[in-house]
Amino acid sequence: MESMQQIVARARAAFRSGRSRPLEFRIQQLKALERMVQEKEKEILAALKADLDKSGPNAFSHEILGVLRELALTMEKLPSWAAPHPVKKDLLTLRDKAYIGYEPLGVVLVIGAWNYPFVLVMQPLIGAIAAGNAVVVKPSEVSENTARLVAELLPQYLDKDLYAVVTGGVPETTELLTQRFDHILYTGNSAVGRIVMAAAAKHLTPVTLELGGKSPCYIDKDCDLAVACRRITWGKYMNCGQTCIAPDYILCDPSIQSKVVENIKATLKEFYGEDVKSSPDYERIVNQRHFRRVKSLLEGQKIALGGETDEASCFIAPTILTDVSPESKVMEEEIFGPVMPIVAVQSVEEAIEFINLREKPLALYVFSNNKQLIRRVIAETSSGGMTANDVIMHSVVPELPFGGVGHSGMGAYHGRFSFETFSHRRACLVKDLRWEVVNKLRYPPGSMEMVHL
Amino acid sequence: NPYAGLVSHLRASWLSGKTRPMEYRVAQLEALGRFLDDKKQEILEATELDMGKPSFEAFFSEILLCKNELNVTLNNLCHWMKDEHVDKNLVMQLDSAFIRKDPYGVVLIIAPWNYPIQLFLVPLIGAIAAGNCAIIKPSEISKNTERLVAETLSCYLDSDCFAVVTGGVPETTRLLENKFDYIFFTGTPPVGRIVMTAAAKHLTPVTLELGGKNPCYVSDTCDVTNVARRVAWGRFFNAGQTCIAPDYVLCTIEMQEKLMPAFRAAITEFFGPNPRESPDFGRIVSDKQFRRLRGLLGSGRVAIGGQTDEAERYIAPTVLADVLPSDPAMQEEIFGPILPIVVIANMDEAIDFINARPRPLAIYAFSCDSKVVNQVLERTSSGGFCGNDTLMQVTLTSLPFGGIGNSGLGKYHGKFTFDTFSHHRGCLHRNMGLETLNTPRYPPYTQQKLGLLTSTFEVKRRGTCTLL
Repeated sequence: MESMQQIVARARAAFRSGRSRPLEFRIQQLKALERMVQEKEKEILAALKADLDKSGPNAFSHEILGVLRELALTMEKLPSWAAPHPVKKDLLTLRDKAYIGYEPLGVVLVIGAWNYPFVLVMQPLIGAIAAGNAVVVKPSEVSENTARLVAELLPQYLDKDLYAVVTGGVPETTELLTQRFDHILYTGNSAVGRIVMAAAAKHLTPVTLELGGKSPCYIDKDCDLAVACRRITWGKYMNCGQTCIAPDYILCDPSIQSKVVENIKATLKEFYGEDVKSSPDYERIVNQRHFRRVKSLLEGQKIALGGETDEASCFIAPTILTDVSPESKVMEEEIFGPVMPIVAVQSVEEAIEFINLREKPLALYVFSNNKQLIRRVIAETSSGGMTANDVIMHSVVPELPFGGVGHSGMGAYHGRFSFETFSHRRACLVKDLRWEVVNKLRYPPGSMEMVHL
Repeated sequence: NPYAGLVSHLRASWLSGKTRPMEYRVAQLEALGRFLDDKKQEILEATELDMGKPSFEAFFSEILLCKNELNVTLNNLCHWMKDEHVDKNLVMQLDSAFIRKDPYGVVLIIAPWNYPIQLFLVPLIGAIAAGNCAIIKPSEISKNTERLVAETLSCYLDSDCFAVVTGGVPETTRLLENKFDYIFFTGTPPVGRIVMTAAAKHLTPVTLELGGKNPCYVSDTCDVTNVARRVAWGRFFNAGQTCIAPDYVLCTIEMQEKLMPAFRAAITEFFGPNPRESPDFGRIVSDKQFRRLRGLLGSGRVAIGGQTDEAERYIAPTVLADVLPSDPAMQEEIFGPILPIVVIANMDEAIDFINARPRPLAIYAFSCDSKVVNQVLERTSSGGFCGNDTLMQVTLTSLPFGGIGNSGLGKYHGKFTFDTFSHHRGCLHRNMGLETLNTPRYPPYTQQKLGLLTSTFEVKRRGTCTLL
């Protein structure tokens, strides 16, 4: 069994060889990844089914489609992203070459999460390879089938020394974090995010932390409730609520609360049929520990819909809680499950104040026909990202940066932002050894007359 | 915590929204400009008292460069603040997708002593431009400038939103216990680690502008006179107390021979026969730094200079020849007017030497042969790079200024400062209509729906890549 130190040292030696730098090499590796996803689709879907009980079409659209899209986009754009960017020059540098060069950082670490275990490891990996780095990948041990598959597949398709997979749990990750990396991208929760950043601080390693929080969803009285609730239902209950940008809770006027419940109920029937438990499209909670955690959030709450659970299969029915008190447990932590609390607010001002009193979330949602109101909510709050009149969708626009702020994280990735995250932007100024007369202005002996020139 | 009240006060101002309107930010930035104009004389005097900074240098680095940054920001703020609209795919044509620049909130700027105005003011410009409130912590080592800033800045800026905190290590430690929304630190790597560790507790993002030993490779084919002038200028500016100063020279033994008289000529041209009497040569900031530097003079042999005066904290512009990698001058960032020359056999050896060491803030390469300059550039890694000159890469506001590895993380200057202090928020404003377009994504999941989804969301390769 190789030690962490040996794995990282090998990756570093491979990086130092320089072979990950030429664009041809990087594109070749990305093409190999593309082949891997296409050839091993069945195995990947099987792993996702085993880990999260995700159905084929769902798993494909949420994990594989996104990865293929990212690969295609990256291979297409890499030459333009990686090209030196000339910059505007001033009087003193008119004759010089001034540009920003994009260079790899070195050996980077990608730590994945269990809820979208394939895409959350692949998407950062794609950016890291594109930027010319060596990469150590640490998939989440909670989604163990996907972790095992990634560990088996990557060495079959990619350069074994440059791109390594490390598996294991907390002790292995802790040891891995004692090594020096040139960037760490971590997806997970805030508590571990702090640990990762503190470990990175010892080596002055920059970090991208994709964390979480409670993403609020404000529903205005003036909106098409049927459409709004259908979109919210989709985003909330997909992957059994285990999505970092799922709408965590609803804020709305008490007068529309029961209509919201009705609409969500109708949509759930549309999506999953009369018996949710037997729908192939409804997932399960990832493990017993999380099952128990989510179930405990229902205690003492008014259940307007759902609430059924089955520990043996980690099943929790799509649930709605009404008249939820802001001080209750379900309003303290990120739910990460199919439970939707509705908190009553009297106005958009109250909603904005409620949101601003809490930690900045990863996503924020607002539904309204009133464009002014939407503009106001955006202007008076902060969040990693946001979507108005839908949920989740800002994360699939390739040109938008995806990341958190405050407790929901720091840094961003997706598309060219991944490339930039894993690159060093080096300022380059190349002058001529002649034209010394221009420089004379700055040399001593100085005088204030010279300065006024 | 002695600063909790102050931080709360600023946070309340922040939550009130008063720093957000462009007019407010412009007003504060213009006030900063007036601070620089009104207090120009006081700044020149304070920095002279602190480290004998020559007025010419102080004007250039503390006033002129800052005013440039201010003007670039004021000229472009409106544009920088605008939402950046991005490309959308087919299904989103009726939607609006854009990047919003949100302020972080309450930020902390910790500045060092060597360019005591510039190194808090330029970050502050970006912090204000991005709509934040800020606490400024100037260095206690440049105590005259610290006093000037503490006493006068509040007369110019809104004291509800901007405050200056003074003190040393204990005070800074306590200050760092508070939660900030961004921390911008300029200083040494060991303290950088402490700052980042403190920031980790609150998940506060940071920019660390640190340092290192900036190598300066001089090839055998070059105009020795000009090289010596440019290197000497970069080395002896501010008596060597510059994070991007050329720290040591790498060249062949023949070049070392040729450079020596050229260095002597440049030094005499700049500072006269007795630099101690020149108004254009600075002093060391403190007794501690002076003694540290004096200790480095035993490295190699003193070829030029070497004179010191403890009372004045004067160290002559010094060039050390035949310095060994094991010598004291090669163990730490020099940060003084001492230039060691380390002899190597050729360019490859120089590049290996550079790559065997922590990545520096800057790398310099001098050659009449542009291929040589390019080789050094391409085969090394550093925060920034300048071919055939020193220091100048940081005077161009369109170039990012920052380190890599031990020399730092993050970057600033010009728009990069504004971007550093803003959260780039991905926003999508969708249409409530056209709900049928969303049907393929909803359960029950079918292969047919998947086919539709794939065709609308897929990015197709446009053709074979010409590189392969």
